[in-house]
Amino acid sequence: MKSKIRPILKREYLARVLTKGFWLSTALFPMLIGASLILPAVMASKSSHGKGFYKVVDTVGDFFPIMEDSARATDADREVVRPPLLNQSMNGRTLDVVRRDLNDESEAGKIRGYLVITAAAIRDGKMTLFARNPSSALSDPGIQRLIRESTMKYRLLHSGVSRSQVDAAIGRVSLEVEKATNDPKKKQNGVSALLMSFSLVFLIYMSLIFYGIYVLRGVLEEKSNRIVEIVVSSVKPFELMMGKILGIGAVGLTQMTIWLVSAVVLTSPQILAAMSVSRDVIPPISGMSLAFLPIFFVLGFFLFATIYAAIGSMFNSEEDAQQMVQVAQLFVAMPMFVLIPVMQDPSGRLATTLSMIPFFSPTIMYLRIAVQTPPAWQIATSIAIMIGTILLMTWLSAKIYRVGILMYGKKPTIPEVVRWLRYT
Amino acid sequence: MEQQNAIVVDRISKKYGDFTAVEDVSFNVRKGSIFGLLGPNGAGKTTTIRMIMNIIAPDSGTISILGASSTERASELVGYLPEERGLYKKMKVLDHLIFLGEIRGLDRATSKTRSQQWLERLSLADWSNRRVEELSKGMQQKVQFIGSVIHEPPVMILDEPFSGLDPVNARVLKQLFVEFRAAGKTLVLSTHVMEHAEQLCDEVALVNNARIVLRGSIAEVKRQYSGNRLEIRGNGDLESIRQIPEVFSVESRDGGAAIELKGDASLSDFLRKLTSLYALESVVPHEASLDEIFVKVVGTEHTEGVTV
Repeated sequence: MKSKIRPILKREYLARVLTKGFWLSTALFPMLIGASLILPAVMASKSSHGKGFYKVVDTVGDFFPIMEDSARATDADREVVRPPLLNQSMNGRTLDVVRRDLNDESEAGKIRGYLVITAAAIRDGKMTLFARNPSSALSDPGIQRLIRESTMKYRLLHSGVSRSQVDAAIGRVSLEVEKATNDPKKKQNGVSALLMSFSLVFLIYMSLIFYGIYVLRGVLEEKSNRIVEIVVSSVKPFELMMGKILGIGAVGLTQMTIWLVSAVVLTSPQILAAMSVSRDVIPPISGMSLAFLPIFFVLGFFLFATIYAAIGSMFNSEEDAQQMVQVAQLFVAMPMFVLIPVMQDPSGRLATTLSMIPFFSPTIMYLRIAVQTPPAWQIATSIAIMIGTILLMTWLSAKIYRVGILMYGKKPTIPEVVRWLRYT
Repeated sequence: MEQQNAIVVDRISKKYGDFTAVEDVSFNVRKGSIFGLLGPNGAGKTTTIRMIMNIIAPDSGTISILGASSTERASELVGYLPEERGLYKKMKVLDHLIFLGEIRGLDRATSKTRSQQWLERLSLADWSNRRVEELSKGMQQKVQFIGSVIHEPPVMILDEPFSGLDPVNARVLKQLFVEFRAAGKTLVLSTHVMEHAEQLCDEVALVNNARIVLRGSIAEVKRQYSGNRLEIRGNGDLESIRQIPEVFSVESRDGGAAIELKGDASLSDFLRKLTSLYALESVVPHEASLDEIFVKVVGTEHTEGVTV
């Protein structure tokens, strides 16, 4: 008898792709990821660009010019933004009076804060920055570096070192991080590559969560619609389950293809242009990590989809299924807690071990591929372990699904579900 | 003559843990007949049908459909309308029927032609491109029915086919069933509405508490349960009739009474005693309706159960 998976798959695919929701989420999702990566950076720079000055109460008299000079001299240094400064003269008032006024100005939002320079502070190296928002001042490397640098210059100049020597000594040191490799093709631009790798892993993770839930909803919908029995009179439950999973997986792949193609089309002119200017420019995503994206999505999707299908078949509504779904989602989410240690040491023992554990592989192994290509045998092993687990989970889930989809009424208990596994 | 029967069910049983859903059930369905599988909710009808459809496997016993073991070909040979039924609500009616035709083994083109013919026939053609959720419940029932017979199977098993249908549509469906039978097809109807069974079925089997408790043609079943019941018309005191030794029970009726005699009572003895007490105008043997038989056999123990 010929398999009925095809018409089921086709229906599942079209029923989802031909909706406004699909195209909307296809368009919005990259924006969301982009926003979640870019927004914090924008916010951070916004706050350091933020309105208002730092006022400097210069009791020694010749500190402010040095500070202003440092701020101007290093404006070209784009890594940190140096905040604008204003000299606050004492006008014969006492320091206490001046500070009271400045505190008022700060609280009123007119200035971002102020710095009191005294001979003692310079000598002891104990400066205090009074800020309207101390936490933003703490996380602002610009002002911190400016104060340190100016203090050092001041001390050097006052110990008799010449101006030009000081400038030469304090001059900017730039640091770039590059991949250690002899293969020039593998050379990547550190920060943007890391960011791209991270967003690709995030993409896989979010897709696994979303598409897993689609499978769950699909199964629950069929049960609550009471269409299951109409279908399984002609189609084996296993075929129905596989048709559904394959159909929804195909929707996921379609979405991913759209994202990848549009990302390449949108960014390649700039990258190609940059490459024609300089031979050192390398695209931020390697072809390898792009090629493995659909593979790890598909493997991860199958791993979780069969579990979601089994859960869906056991219950009658999403509320009933809630608890089990949370357990399943924990399995999807677990790898996200170890992303940072894995990223820091992608070939370390933790990373290597985790990338071989089935539920971690889709994200962790993919992350390792994206940040630093692991040996081929490790990739192959993790894929083989995943395929083995998928087959096992499919077999188990199909047994639960077969019984579950025809069960209506009360929520089954775990021992009942275990008994289903033995039904013929 | 080897294949007189479309369906042969031979001593099937099914247990779910400690619960016995079906026990030692056997029956044959003649080719070209309409067979009624009757019984209260939870009696085991749906489980029996699911085993015939190979959706679940019996613990013991065998089933064959048109000579083939049902495990192989049930889905091709039988059109099945389950009791728990529904449709994908967001799909368009025609697309949905084409899909059902495809999973029943038709190619797309054939499935489309037949769907259109059926929609025309059941006056749903105007709704072809509407979404299922826009249809009334009765219309959806008709779509489900089309979906279960679209592959033109020689045998059809329809579980509560009239539920949710108004009298007009129920009549259309009955007409169709009679036509199917005339065309040599075999139908199994499962229902607890005895009136439908009485009108349509050639033979019935009554299932209660997982077992078949009554089986045979409508006429046989009725004869078996109508044996000693009479309806009388006339004037007189019913209480004195109750005192006649042959009488088992008396129920007052408009202008007379329905009387059941004891199993071994002599009709002529009873009539002789009756005429002396009662101004008798007419007496006819009472034919029990299937409904009465159902209530009598299933009894008061019958309570609403869950479908397993």
